[in-house]
Amino acid sequence: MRGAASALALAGFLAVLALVCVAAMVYGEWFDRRLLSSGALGVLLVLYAAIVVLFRKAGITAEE
Amino acid sequence: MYRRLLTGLQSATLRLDVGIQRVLPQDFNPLYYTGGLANLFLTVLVVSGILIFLYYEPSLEGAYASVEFLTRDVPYGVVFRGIHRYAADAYMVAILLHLFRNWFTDRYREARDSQWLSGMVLLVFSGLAGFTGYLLVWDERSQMLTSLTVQALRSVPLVGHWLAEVFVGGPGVSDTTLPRFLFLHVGPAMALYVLLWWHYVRLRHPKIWPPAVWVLFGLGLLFILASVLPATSGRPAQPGASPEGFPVDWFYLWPYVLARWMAPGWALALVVALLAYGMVIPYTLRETPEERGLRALGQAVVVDENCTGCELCYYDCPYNAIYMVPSPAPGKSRAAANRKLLAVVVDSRCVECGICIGACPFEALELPRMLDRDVQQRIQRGAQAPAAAAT
Repeated sequence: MRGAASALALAGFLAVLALVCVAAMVYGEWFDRRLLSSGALGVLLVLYAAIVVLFRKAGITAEE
Repeated sequence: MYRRLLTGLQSATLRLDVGIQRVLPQDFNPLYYTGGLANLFLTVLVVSGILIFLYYEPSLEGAYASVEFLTRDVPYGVVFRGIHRYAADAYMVAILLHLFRNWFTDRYREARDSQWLSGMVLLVFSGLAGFTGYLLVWDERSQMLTSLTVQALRSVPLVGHWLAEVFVGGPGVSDTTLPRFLFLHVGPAMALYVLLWWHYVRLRHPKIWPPAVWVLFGLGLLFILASVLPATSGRPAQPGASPEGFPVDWFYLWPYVLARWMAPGWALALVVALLAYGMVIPYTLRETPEERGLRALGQAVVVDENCTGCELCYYDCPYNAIYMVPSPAPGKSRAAANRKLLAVVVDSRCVECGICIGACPFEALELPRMLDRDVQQRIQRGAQAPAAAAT
């Protein structure tokens, strides 16, 4: 139970980081820094992958 | 010796699986999806390749400039070029992991030699498509690779000069060279999909795509690499100049590193010898099937009177060794009385794994040397042995 709670807390933190990445993508596109935009998109995708793993470990999702 | 080495590598591979599963859920183990990951990166290569192709000009004068235009002036062009570049490396890593994992876990012989051989041909075509990609930029590296390749091909006995002419599209580098390179890049890449059909045709449940978590991670990694380490060109190729050296991509250009120490022709011969050895790997072990624990149970046989034609065995057999045919007569058991189909085992494909026996709820399949009564006798003997020892 404690493991599930800490996995969820970490997933929440990663979700906040993902929001920062979205902001970086918008900033990069707005100010013509496209490598920053694409790098932020890459980090965002990796964060989503980590969140999917954490959800499984927390027992929120089950095996497909 | 070779068998002992393979056994050691097999247990190391399985220990690695156990280690990964301490961190990740079992169905997320990336080593279960090395083939699927290769397909993911191949798809990325095709999509990014089409976008790059829209801007590419296959001519001696225009190739370098068109790649530079894509990299510098097209919005996100540098990202797509980088993704194409790193997806090629990731693709090669995935297929090498796939190759070694199947080799070390003994899944390349007997009924699976077709997958192994098609995999080796896929490796050759993938290497060719990857290597020719470096020629298309037409910078100093492309020029040097072309020169080394022509030298290597010319050293082939009898047909060497013809091969070199086929490679560059004439007696030397000319206006036909870059279109030829483009064909040698795109042609093998398209052939990969035909070869994949050969690779999968004998597999009933291939894992052709990784789970979403690895799709997200793989794509994310490509975007990060393309942004942090953008793909760049060297200096443009100069006719008549001979550059001193070039940056090496170890996944596709390692044979050219050998050219430092040996003639290009010998490096080519070494590559051909390695690939030839790869082709015969499934046939190198000379153990009898019984020594390997295979072919000792007899191929599965259908118990005609019990078969209901339900097709469960047909769907479960991973080796395509069971076919359903129209039933010539009803079965004798009550459940089989109204059957329309009958299971038939293709002996040459059956590897005696017993999966069909587990799949059949009607006791309509048997391994002739592992009958139910034999199994029950073994269990009874096993149960009686400790009791006898205790008295």
